[in-house]
Amino acid sequence: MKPYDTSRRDFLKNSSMGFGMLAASSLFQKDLTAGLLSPLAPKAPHFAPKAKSVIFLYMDGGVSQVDSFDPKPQLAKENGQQPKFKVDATVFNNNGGLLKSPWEFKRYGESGIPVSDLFPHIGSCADDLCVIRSMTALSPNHPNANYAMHCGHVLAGRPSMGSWFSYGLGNFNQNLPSYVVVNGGLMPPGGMQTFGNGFLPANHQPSIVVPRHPVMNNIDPREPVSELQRKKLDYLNSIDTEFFKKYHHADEVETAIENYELAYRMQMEVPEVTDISKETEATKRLYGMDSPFEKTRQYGSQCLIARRLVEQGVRFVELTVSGIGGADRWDQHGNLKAGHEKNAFAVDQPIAGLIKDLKARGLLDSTLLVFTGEFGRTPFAQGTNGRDHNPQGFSMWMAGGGVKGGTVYGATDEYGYRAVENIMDVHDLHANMMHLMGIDHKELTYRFSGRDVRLTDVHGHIIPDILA
Amino acid sequence: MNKIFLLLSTLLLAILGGLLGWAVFFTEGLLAVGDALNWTQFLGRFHPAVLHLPIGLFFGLFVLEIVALRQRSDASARSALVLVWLMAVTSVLTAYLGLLLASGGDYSGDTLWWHKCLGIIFAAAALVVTFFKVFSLCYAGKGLTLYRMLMIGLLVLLTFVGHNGGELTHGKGYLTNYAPKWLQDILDEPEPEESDVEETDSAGTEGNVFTHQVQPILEQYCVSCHGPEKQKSKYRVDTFEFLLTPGSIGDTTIEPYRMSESSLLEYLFLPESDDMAMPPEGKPRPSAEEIMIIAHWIANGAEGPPIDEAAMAAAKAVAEAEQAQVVRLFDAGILLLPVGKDSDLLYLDFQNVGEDLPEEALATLSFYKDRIYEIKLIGSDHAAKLLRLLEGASELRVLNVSGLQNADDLAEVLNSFSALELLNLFGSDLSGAGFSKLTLSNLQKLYVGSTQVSPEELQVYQKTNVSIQVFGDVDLSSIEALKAIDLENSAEFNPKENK
Repeated sequence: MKPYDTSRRDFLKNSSMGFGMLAASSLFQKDLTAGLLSPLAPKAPHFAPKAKSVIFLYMDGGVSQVDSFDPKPQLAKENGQQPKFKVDATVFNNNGGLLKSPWEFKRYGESGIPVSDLFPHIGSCADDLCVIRSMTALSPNHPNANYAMHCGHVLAGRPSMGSWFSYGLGNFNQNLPSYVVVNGGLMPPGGMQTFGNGFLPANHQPSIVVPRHPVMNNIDPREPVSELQRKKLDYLNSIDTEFFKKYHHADEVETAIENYELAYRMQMEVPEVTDISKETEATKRLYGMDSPFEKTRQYGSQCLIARRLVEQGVRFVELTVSGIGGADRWDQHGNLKAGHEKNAFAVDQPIAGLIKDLKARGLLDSTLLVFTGEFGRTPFAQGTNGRDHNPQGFSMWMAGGGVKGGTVYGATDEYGYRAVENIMDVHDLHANMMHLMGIDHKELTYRFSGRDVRLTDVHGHIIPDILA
Repeated sequence: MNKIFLLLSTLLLAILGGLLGWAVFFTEGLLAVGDALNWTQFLGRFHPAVLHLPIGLFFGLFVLEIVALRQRSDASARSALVLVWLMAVTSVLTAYLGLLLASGGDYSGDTLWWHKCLGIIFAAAALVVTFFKVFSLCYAGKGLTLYRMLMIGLLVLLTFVGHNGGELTHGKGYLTNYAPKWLQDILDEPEPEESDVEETDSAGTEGNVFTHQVQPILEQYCVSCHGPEKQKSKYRVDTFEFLLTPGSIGDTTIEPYRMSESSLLEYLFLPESDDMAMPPEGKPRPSAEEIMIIAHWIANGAEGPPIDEAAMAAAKAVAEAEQAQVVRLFDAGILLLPVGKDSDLLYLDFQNVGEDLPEEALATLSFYKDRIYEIKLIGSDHAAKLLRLLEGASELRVLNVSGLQNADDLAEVLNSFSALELLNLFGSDLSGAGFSKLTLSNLQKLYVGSTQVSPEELQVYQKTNVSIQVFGDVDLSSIEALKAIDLENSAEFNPKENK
C-alpha cells in the first residue's frame, strides 16, 4: 500500500502558486500538527510509517541461538570435543567442549524457517517472522548489554528507545502513557535505567504495570468523589504553576504538572484497558491462559494487556519475563535444558497467541513485534550443561509492522559462535525499528550536553532485505 | 497465388499489429516481462540506435517509389516491397524499445507524451502502408493512390516524431538555437508564461547571484538532461528547490556552505574523461570561470532566489488556519494528522471522542474528505454518522471500523470507498448477508473475525474474491496439537499437572 499518489516532484510541478511560495513555505511551520503543544500529543512522522506501535518482547538473560532459531548440525557431530576455533574469554571462563542442542529443529510454514522444539507455537507463525541470525551485542555483561539493547549505549543514563518513540511520535491516546512496561516480575540487571527516559523530558518515561490487580500503585483513587480529587489537583496545579513561573519555566516542573494530569486521566482508562476478564474464553485459550503452568498464564495476561494497550494507541509496550521457579530467566549458565524449557514454555504460546490474535484483528500490519535477548549464548558448554554469554552472534526476530515475514537474514559460522554474514548491531536494529515507525533515525535528535544526540549515535543502517 | 500471398501478409501484419497493441495497452505486462528478465533498461537504451533503421528504410523506400513512379518500372516497385516490410518490422521494434526506455523515469513531460503517441501511430501506420503495398502488388496497382497518400502522411508523421525525439535527447530548441532570428520566430513555440515570470521577477531579483549568474549556467549546460523534460538519475537542477532535493543516490545536489558535500561540484570538477563527469563527454562543458561562480555561490551559503512576500503571507495564513483546525479537532478528541511530514494525506482517529461530536468538527472533516488516507474508528458511537459524512472519500485506503454496529446497513457506504485496500470489520455485527454485499475492487485485506459471518460464508466469499485476503477467527484446534509438544517439553518440571 503506497501512501503517496503524487510525488513531491509532481507536487512542485503542479503547484499553482509557483516557486516563490515554496521558498517561502520553508520559512514557517508547515506541519499540520504544529499547534498541538501537549508533549504526548501525536506528532507527524517524518514519512508515512508501516507500524504505529511496537511490542518489545524482551527475553531477559539471553536466549541461546543454537537452541532456538539457528540450527547447527556441526555441534551434534563434534559434541563434547574441544572447539577447534579460537574462543574469546567469556564471563565465567569455565568453558567445556562443544555442546549440541538438546532440542530437535523442525521447518515451519511455507517459508520453512527452522525453529527448535522449544518454540512449537512461535514456529507455527514462521511465515510472519523475520529471523535475524547475525545480531551482535555491544557488551558481554547483562547491565551493559541491557542498556545497549534499550538505549543504544552501554552506559546508564541514556534514553531508552521507548522514550525516543514517545518523544518523536507522541501518543494516539491522550488518557494513556505512550510507553508502558508490563513487568513480569524481574527487573533486568541494570535496573530502571534500562527503560529510563534519560535526558528526554520526563513525560516520556515508561509507566510500569504488572499483570495483576492493582496494575499500578495508587491507580484506584483514594477519594470517593472525583470532584473532590479534581479540586485538589487544580489547587496543586495552581501552586505548581506559580512555582514554574518563578523558577524560569523549569521543564521538570512543567513535566510534573502534565504527569499529574495524565495520571488523573489514567485512573479511568488504565483499569479498563488492563482488565482482561472481558476477553472471550477462546481468546484466553489462544494466549495460553488455560495452561497448567502458572508462568504461561501470567505471560499470557501480559501479552493480552500489550494487545489491549496497542489497540488503544499506545506507542511502545515492553514485556519483561518473570523469574521461573528454580531457573533464573534465560540466563542458563548451568542446567540449560531445564531452564530454557521452563522459560520457553512460559512465553511460547502467549507470544504465538499474540501474533495470531493481532493478525485476526487486523493489527499485525501496524504493530511491530521484536523478540530478543541482550545477547546470545555460547555454542560450547559452561561447566558441563550450561552456556555462557555470547555477544558475538545471536538470533532475534521481528514480526508484523512492515517487516518481511518468512525470511532469515544473516548467518553465524558453522558452530553458531560468531556472526559472519550481514552482521547487525543494536544501532542497526534501532534504525530499522525507527524506519518502520516512520522516523528517520538521523533526524530525530535531542540537544543534550551541547550535542544533538540520536538513539543511534553516529551509527545505524537501514536494511532493505528485512523490510517488506 | 496472389491471394495466398496477400492472406499470409495480412496475417503477419495482424500479428505485428497485435504485438504493438498489446505493448501499448498493456504496457505493465511488457514491463513485467522486461523486469523479470532484468532487461527493461538494457534493451530500452537501444531505442535511440534502432530508431534510425525505420527512418533510413523509409527514406530509401520513398526514393525508390519516386523512381518507380517516373520509370513506371515494375522492378523498382517490387524491390520496394522488401524495404516496406523491413520498415514495418523495425518500426514496431522501435516502438517496443521506446516504451521500455520511457518506463525508466528519466523522461517525462509533454514532449515525451507526444513522442510516444506519434511514435506508436507511426508504427501502426507503417503496418497499414505495408498492407496497401502488398495489396497493390497483388491486384495490379489497385489501392496505389491510397498507398502514396499514406506515404506522404508517414513523411509528415516522421518529421514530428523525430523532432520530438531529438528534443528529448538534446533539449528543447537544440535545432533552432543557432538558427537565424527570423527563422526562430517562426519555428519556436511562444512561451508566454516564462517570459511573464521573468519580467515580474526582474524587479525583485536585482543583484541575486542565483537568478542572474548561477541559473543561466545551469540552464545552458545541465537543464536539458536534468530539467522538466528529462531527469537523468532523478536529478533536477532547473530550480533552486530541486537543487535541494536528493537525487537517485540520495545525496542533495548542493549543500549550502559545504562545497565538499555538494555533489554538483563533485561532478563538475571531475576530468572530462571520468565516467561520472558532468556534463558527459561530448557535450559542451562550462568554463572554469563558470564552475567557480557556482562553487563560490555554494561556499557563501547558496542563497536562493528572492522570496515572494505576498505568496508567503498567503501560504502562511492557510497553514495556520489548518493548524488551528487540527487543534480544535484534537480538543474534541479527534486526531487528524498527516500520515507523514512529506505527505498531504491524512490519518483520522476517533478513539478519544466522547459522546459529544461537535457539528463544527464534522464540517471540518468533510472539508478534508478527499485527503483522508486512513481512519481508525474502533468501537466509536459516531462511526455510522462519520462514514456517511465521508461517503465516497476518494483517497481512503485503510479503514478500521472494528466493532461497527449496523454494519449490514452500511455496506453500501463502505462500497463507496473505491480506493479502499484494507477494511477491518472485526467484532462488528456484520452478517453473511451484509458480508456478501461488500464489493471493493481494490481491496486486499478484509477482517471479519468475531462477526456473525460463518466460516462457510467466509469460504464462499474467499472463493469468489480471490484477490482479497479474508481473515476470520483464529483456528484454535491447530493450537491443541502444538500444545502436546509443549507439554512433552515441560513434563520434567510440570509432571503432575499434565497427567
